[in-house]
Amino acid sequence: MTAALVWDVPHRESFGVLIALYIFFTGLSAGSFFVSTLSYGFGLRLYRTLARPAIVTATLMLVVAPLFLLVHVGRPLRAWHLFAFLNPGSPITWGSFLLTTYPLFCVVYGACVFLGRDRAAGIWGLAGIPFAVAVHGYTGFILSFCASRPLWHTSMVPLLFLVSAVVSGTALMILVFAAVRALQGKRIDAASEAGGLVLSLGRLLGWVLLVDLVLTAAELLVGSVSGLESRWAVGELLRGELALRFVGVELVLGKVLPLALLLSGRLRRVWTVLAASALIVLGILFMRLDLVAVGELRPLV
Amino acid sequence: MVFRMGGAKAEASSATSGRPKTVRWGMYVDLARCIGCQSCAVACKAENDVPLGVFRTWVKVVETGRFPNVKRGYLPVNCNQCEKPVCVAVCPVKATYQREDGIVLVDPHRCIGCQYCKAACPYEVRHLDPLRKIISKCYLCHHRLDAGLPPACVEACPTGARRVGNLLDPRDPVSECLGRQAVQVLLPEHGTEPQVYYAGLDEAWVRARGRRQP
Repeated sequence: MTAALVWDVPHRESFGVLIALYIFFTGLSAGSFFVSTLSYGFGLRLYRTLARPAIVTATLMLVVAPLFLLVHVGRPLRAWHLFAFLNPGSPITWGSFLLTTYPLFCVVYGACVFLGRDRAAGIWGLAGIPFAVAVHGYTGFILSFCASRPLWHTSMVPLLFLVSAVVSGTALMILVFAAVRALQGKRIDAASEAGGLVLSLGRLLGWVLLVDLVLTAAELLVGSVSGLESRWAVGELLRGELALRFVGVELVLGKVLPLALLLSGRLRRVWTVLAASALIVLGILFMRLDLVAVGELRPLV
Repeated sequence: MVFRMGGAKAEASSATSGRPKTVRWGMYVDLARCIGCQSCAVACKAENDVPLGVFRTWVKVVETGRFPNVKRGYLPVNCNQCEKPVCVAVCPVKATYQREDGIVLVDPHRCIGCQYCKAACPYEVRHLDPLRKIISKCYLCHHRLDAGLPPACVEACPTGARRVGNLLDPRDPVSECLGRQAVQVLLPEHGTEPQVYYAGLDEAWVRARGRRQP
């Protein structure tokens, strides 16, 4: 027997848009940091020109991200409580320490890059990668520790966040690179070194995006045969109130279309890679918003 | 000797003092008696100075059946004072804690208002105090219990549907009720061991839900 609701007290959502944006910006930071270390840390010399704009972007995104937390938290002046009375079992505590150590790696690594200390930059870059991974991965654990929220409470969420961080960060770096070139008054020719960089990074982006799409599909597939709540949430994303955002913007515009542009040799041109990158950043923004929204859309009792 | 009542821990001994626990507060709600008058919600608001727009307890109203065989259902909801509270586990500053007698409290001077406990609570019985910007919830009127008085909602209930008692005292009327009839708790699948017991709870009442206010 089913029951119809007559009256209830639905309290406001806990995380909402502000936390979704916080996750989006930490993801961009971690992804940009990863792109920056490609040349110094992993010896891919082709991407050397990206190292400087990427680490500047990574640091700036990390300045922006916690501002959303400060607006969201009711008593921001009590932030020192996070260190004075810490609970080691809470993912937010992990974040307190990651958000204070990761910027150090950004600054030291960035200084090495700008001062031309290649060896030191390589070491600091590689050492910083676990922190970049963790500073974004912990936000996934924040959601997945909420055991009663549909589609949050999966071990896929932290993993999905890491992949989408690399996807959105790489896409953003392609856009930043093009913007820097445009400001310098230089064109990006397909035959030039800059053009080769964009095309090669675009192809790399395509493969990571494919992994992202596979993980998203796995989350949806398993969710659609899991408990009542998960099935409701998947239905809401595919057919319900969030369908236009999720299927239209996140999946089609943000994943499927860019995937075709990036992985098809015939479609991959400098301008299509730029268009795909813009679509990907938009798609990942909606991925954060959709995932946070679907867990909080309706009361639990 | 300690008696096991409902879901309360049998060998309950305090981690801090080592003495066996003698008090574990719990609630018993006889849903056949509830008439949905919301007196409990109003009394709680008055007793605890709860701001506009938020509630520490309320009565959810549902309708079941198909015409002409229909029935209204009334489900009083408040903090379940869980034996294994998720809110306590996730609070990053240990502002939410559990008293020895089981009542889950929020330290108003420590809470930073991050709302993680509110997101993690399976019962959604926490709210952000719109004035103090910290998390607030039902404390089972611990100030009244400590003074030997029943909580405001229990005292205000005109039909005696709500009762609060010491689950570790075998002579407590609530303990007798829990031991002698079928009772249910809300969402037992989350393993939180809630300590608000309902007699006559229909699972469909719990599953009937609307949408969150924008």
